[in-house]
Formats: sequence, C-alpha cells, structure tokens
Amino acid sequence: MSKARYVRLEKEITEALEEKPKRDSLYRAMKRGRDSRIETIEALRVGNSFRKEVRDIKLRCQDCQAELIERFTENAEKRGTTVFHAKDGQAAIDYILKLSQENDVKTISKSKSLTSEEIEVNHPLEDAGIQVIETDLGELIIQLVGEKPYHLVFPSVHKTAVEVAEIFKKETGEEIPSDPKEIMKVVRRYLRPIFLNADIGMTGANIGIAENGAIAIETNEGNARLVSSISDIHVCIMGIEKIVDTVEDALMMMLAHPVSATGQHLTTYVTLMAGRSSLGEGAEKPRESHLVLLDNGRTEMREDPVLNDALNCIRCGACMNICPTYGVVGGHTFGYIYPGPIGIPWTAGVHGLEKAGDFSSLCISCGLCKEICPADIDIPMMIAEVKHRDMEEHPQPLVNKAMMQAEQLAKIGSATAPLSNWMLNNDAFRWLLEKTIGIDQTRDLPSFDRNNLRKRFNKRNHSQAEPKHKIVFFADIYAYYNAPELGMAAIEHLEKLGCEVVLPEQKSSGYPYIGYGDLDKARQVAQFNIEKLMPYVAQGYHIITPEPTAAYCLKKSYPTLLSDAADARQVADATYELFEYLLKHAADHLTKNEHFAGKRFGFHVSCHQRPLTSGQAAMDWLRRQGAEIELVETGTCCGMGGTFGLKAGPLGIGLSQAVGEPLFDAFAKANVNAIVTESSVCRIQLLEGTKLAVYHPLELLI
Amino acid sequence: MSSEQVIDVFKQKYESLAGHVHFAESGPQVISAIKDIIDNVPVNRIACAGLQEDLQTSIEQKLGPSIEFIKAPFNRSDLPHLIDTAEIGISYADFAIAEAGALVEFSTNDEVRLVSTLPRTHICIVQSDQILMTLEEAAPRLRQAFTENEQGCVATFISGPSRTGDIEMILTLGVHGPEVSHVIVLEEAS
Repeated sequence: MSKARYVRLEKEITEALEEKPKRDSLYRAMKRGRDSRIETIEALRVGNSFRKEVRDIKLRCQDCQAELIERFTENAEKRGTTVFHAKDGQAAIDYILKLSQENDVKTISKSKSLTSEEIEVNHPLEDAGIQVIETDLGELIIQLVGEKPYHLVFPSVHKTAVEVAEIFKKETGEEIPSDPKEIMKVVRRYLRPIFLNADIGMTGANIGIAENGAIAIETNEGNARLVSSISDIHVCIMGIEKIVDTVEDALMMMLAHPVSATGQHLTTYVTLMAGRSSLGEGAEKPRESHLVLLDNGRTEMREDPVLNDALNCIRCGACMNICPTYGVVGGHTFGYIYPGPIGIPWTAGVHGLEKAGDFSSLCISCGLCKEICPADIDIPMMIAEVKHRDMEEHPQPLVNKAMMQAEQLAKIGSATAPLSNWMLNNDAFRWLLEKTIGIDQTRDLPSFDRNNLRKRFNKRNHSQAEPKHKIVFFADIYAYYNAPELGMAAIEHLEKLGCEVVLPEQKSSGYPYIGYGDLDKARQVAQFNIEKLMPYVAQGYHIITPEPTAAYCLKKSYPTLLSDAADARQVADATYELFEYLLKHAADHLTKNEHFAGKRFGFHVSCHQRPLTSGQAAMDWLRRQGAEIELVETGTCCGMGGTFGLKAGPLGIGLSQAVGEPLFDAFAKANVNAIVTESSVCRIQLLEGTKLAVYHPLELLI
Repeated sequence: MSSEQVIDVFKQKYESLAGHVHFAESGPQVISAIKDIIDNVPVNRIACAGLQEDLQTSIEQKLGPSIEFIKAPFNRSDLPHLIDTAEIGISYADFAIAEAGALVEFSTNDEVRLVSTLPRTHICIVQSDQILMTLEEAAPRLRQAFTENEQGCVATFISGPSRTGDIEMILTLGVHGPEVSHVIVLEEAS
C-alpha cells in the first residue's frame, strides 16, 4: 500500500526538518567529505581520470566474474583458507553459526562490514548466546543504541559528543567528559580486552584479489588489524562483486576508496591478507581463516540489464556526500540497510523492490551522484528504473502524474492566458490546486504567455542569405510557453551570428518522466524528439537549447534511454548549450556593456549543467561584456529538483527548501545584487529562498 | 625525481598525517633516535619484531636493563596480552610510498602486526632507498611477496597513527592502534 509508505516518509522528513542541529552536523560532514575529495583529486597526478580507470577495472572484472571467483577461491584455498560460497544470507549465517558452535565460541570481535549488515548476521549469533561486538567506533556507538548506520562511512555522524559520552557512561559506569579525546581513552580501554579475548575475529573486505587469493581490508582506526590478527579464527564476509583480477587493480581500488570517501590518499591502514599467518611459536592448533563469499542476489543483479551497474559500486559513500535530500534526512530515512543514492538499486537487488520503493521517491533526480561516483555509475538512471518497476505495484500519487504532464499543462496555460495567469494568482484557486492535485499554493509559479514561441517565431521577419551555421532551436517548456521573449532573444543572438535557425516540431525534454520513473513515456518522448531532430542533424544542423535540463536530456539521458542508438548518439553529439555555442562563435565580437556597471552578480549552476559546461560558458560570455560575476555554490543542489519542490508537503517544498538553505546562506554572504542562472526551475527556488532578483543571462541584455 | 626529493615528499606527507619523521645515517644513530623518543615517555616494556639481530642487541644494551624487551623467539601462550603490556613497539617497514605517506610492512607472522598495532607508540624503521614515489610502484613488490610466501602472507600499508572522526567528525588519534607514530629513515646503503 503506497499510502503507508508516504505517511512514513512524510513523518520522518517532518522530524528531520525540525532537527536543525542534527541536519547541520550531517551537512558539515558531507561538505567536508566533498571538499576534501576535490582537494585530493586536484593533487593526484591522474586527476579526475582515475574514475575512468576505476570503471574500466570494474567492468572488466564483472565481465569475467565467474572465472575470477573460481581463481580467487583456488588461490585462497591453496593458502589454507576455507572458502564458503554462500548463495544467500541464511547460508552465510548457518555457516558461521556452525563454525562458532564447533569451536565453542563465546565472543566475536567484529570490524565494520556493510556486507555483514546486509545479511544481519549479528542477531542470529546473539540469539545463539554469542556476544558480538562491533569495534569500529561509529558502529559500536550505533550497536550500543540499537540503530542502523546513518552514513556508510560515518555511521554515527548524527550523534553528538555529549550523546556518545552518555552512551559509554551507561556501558562502562565511568564518568566521561564529552570531549572526543577523553571518550577515546575510555573506548580504547573498553575494547582492548574484547580484541584480546575474542574467539573469532570477523571482518568484511574491501577487495578480493584473484591472482593471489588475498583480501584487502581498509580501516582508519586499525581495528581490523587487531580483529584479523589476534583471534585464532578469522572469518571474512565478502560480496562476490569485490573480486578484482590483479594486484594493480587492487591498488587502484585502494586509492579510489579513500579519495572518494574522505579525500585521503590511502586509508590509514590497508591490510592485504592472504591465508593465515602463525602467531608465535608452538601453537597448539593451526590458526584458521574462513572466507564467506556472498552472492545474495548479486548474480541475478548481474543479469539485470539496468541494475547490473550497481555491482560496480566500491562502497565509498561519495554519492551520499553529494545527495541533496540524503543530506537533510540522513540514512535512516534515505535507506533500508544500504543508505543513500546507490542504496536504492542495491536495496532493490539484495532486499527487494518493495524495500527500495519505500525510499526511492526521496531521489529528486539531480544526477549529481553519477558525477561524483568514482566508478561513474549511472545511479540516477537505475533509480528511475526502480521507480518505474515500483509503479506497477504502487501507482504514482496524483501530484507526480500532474508533474509528468507539465508540458500539456503549460500548453493549456498558454492557450488560456491571461485567464490562466489570473487563476495562478488567485488564492482560492491555488488552495484548491494544492488540496486536489498537491501543488504547493505558496510557490510562485511562472506565468504563461499566450503569444508563445512558435507564434513569435513564425511572425518574425528574417531571411539569412548563405547562413554560416545551421541551428535547430530546442526550446523546452519555459522558453516556449512562459518566457517566449527569452527564446526569441536566444534565436536573435544566434541569427546575428549568421545562423539559420529553425524551430521544427518538438516536445519538451520529458525529464519529469525520468524523475518520477515513467520510463515508457520518457522513451516515447525521447524517440519522438530524436525522430524530429535527426533529419536536421543529418544535414549538418547543430541543436541549441537554452535550458540546462534539456541539454542534459539530449546529451546524456536520451542515449541511455534508447540503448545508445546511433541516431540518439548523433543528436547528442550535435547538441550544445546556448552559451557554449554563443561563446564559441561570438567570443571575439563581444563588447563591454554599460548595463553591467557597478553591479555584482552571483551565478548559480544547475545540477544538470555540471556534467556539461558547468555554467562556465555563460559566465565567460557575461564577463566578456563587462559583468562582474562569481560562482556561488555549495557543491550540491538548490533543492528544487525540477518540479519536486513545487509539490506541497514535506516530500516536496518542505524538503526542497531545507536542501536549499545552505545555498541561500551562501548567496546572502556573497554580497551580490542579483543571481544569474540558466535553469527556469532553480530560478523559482532561488527567488523565494534568497529574495534576490534572479535572471537568465539573456534577460540581463534584453 | 631525485631520491632526496622523494624522501622529502614522504616526510611532508607522513607529517601531514600526524606522524613524526627522524633521520639516521647509521645503526648508532637509529638507537639515539629511539632514545630521544622514549626519553619523553615512561617506558617499562618495549616489543620488537623483525629487527636485525645486531640492532636488536645494541638497542637493548643502550637502553639499559630497566626496560624489559619482548622479542623473538615469541612464546605462543598469551602473546597478544604480553605485547599489549608494552608501551612501545619497534618494527621494520619493507618499503614506503612517498606520495601517500605510507609505510608497507610485510609479515608472515602475526606478532609483527601486533607489535605495530597494540602499543600506544610505534617506531618504524625504513631504509631511505626503499621509499618509492607512487602507489603503482608497489605492485611488483607486492606480487613478489605473495608469490614467495605460498601460505600466510600479509602486507600492511600504514599511514600514520590510528585515527577516527566518528565523534562529530573531530580527528582523534589512537582509538585502537598507536596514538603516536614515529618513522626513522635510515640513510645508509643496505
């Protein structure tokens, strides 16, 4: 029942919105992770291209996974390790339970392993009377309070020092000051006997290396070193997707994890462990090493044409550090056991579609997780697929359906203007619109223009003898129905450059279909637009669009939706953002414009622009005409998420505005007269959030 | 890049990770560096693993009889508990990686790992000509180690003291492993 799902989400979001200090600490943690990551990547010799190397390694290794598993197993067994292939969590648990019972195990020390959380191994062991103790500090904290990880890398980031001191006071009976250093001394004393006396040491593994049967375990605290060396029995639980081919592959992963997670060059301790080493002389019995290789849905995921990309995840948590809505609600709401953006397809793969669907609507389709992912995983498209599959069981709420009809609504709005505009400004109508459809009544919606772009375009007098360039103008909704004067201004700029501009039949980008998960409709729109655009592309036309999301669709989403079809690829290659094109062809002709004197502008880059020009072209274009303009950003989204922020309630405007807060603050501090952005939806959010004037770059010159 | 530059990169990076770097040109200088370090901490027991015999002997002579040394041959019973009683652990790194500020320790016995993990202060000795610039350069050495040791073999990359940011993202050292990490770079022909 989808209603219960939304009730839960809305309740939890409302709680998160009320807990500002907790949100702030999560935001700080995420921001620090993002900033350090960028700093470290800039210092790397390979720079950002390490992402391509990581992806290549993962794809190559996933391709021959069965062979790698076999070779890894053989090499580990040669060294005396017992390898158990567990088809699911229950098989893994049964194996570990049996091993524990055979060896009369009373205590297990454990170092952080998300894979062990995936199968929830602690509970059945505890039910069998075995004490299982997490030794990673963050994991220990949440174990003591009976919670699940809030963040993949920082599981207890939501707990303050005061709370942590209280937790350990309760556990040890000691008076503990709320200073992390003092708490640490207590933790060290508390855990030492546990390390020293545990009968089994249990770890996960970050990497398996087929060529030598070794596993790599990375920790900053060093707990895995103790867990894997002291107890006579070592048990490692590792997902089969972690196995790479060679030592060189492993070194690349060892770099990619910490760089992406925390901006460290290497994790403080990386243990590459093969077989089991002796400890001292005259041992009574051989020390054992058990490796549980977990499938638990992974093989099935590999066969899935969309979700298989999730297997390339290296579990760095970077997508969590950039996800705008995760940054507000945290991993308990935005996750099942696997949190954050990648948690949606992973949950679908190992815990089922239903569980993934429970939180997939928190994704606002900004696409930033793909851009930060060290394995360049198309997380947004997998999430769209999860939403799509989930729709069959759980029909979309009415408001999502309405948002997906944005173009049809704009068409009606434009055709019925000015009546439609009067209605949009009528409180009673907007109240009704909120109550019946779910569009927030306080949002300042852009007005419609009856004299739409098509009408204006057809009416204009222009003939271009021997055009220098041939352009197809792809308008999208805003420049077509709401602000056709902007569309015309763009067209005139292009014509001044000697371009022939055509405006063939077209639909808007259709991105809301992707955002809300109706991928059948999204494909239909993509196919329609490609069919209309392709004949022009074949004749050498370039496609220009003023809307960042439309450029993103044409260049990124359509080829993915249409399985990289040749025509979609050609259309993508022929597409440019407006200012990218204007700058390329007009840079030398730009002159200073007095209009800009004495003003300072702050530029906002829309999320979908980040993998394209990142707004650099528009800023450069304005600067060359004398504008003083600087990029103002937090590294993540303004919170609008296309049409997401127009929706009423916590799972809409509430969450949207909370995401935007840090950016609104940044603009307030930036001391600018106005904001410039190319996105028609970010514009609405910034206008309301900052109270500053917001312009499209072209508007500054109209 | 000259070896001096590589050593310099290592020093900078290791220090940025809260580690301490010392230089020595001979065995006696290594001992005096160790002496300088332990002068600042009350020490009753020192655990040593993998040191060359002559170095081990002279460390014991120079540091005096008031300190008890836990060293090979290790008695199996209660070894982790015993090493845990040492305030200082001294061991060798087989090589280091300058750009990452990492020491790399090979071991086929877990006592080596315990000596570099359990005591609150760890002193690690590395030959200056064994400092590589990049992580990639480690590949052939790792491959060789795992090929030569057909049974248990562990390679550990250690980049400074044990650290956590799990409480309010505040960097805190020594939660499980060493709180203080020293490296002595031995600049003599091996």
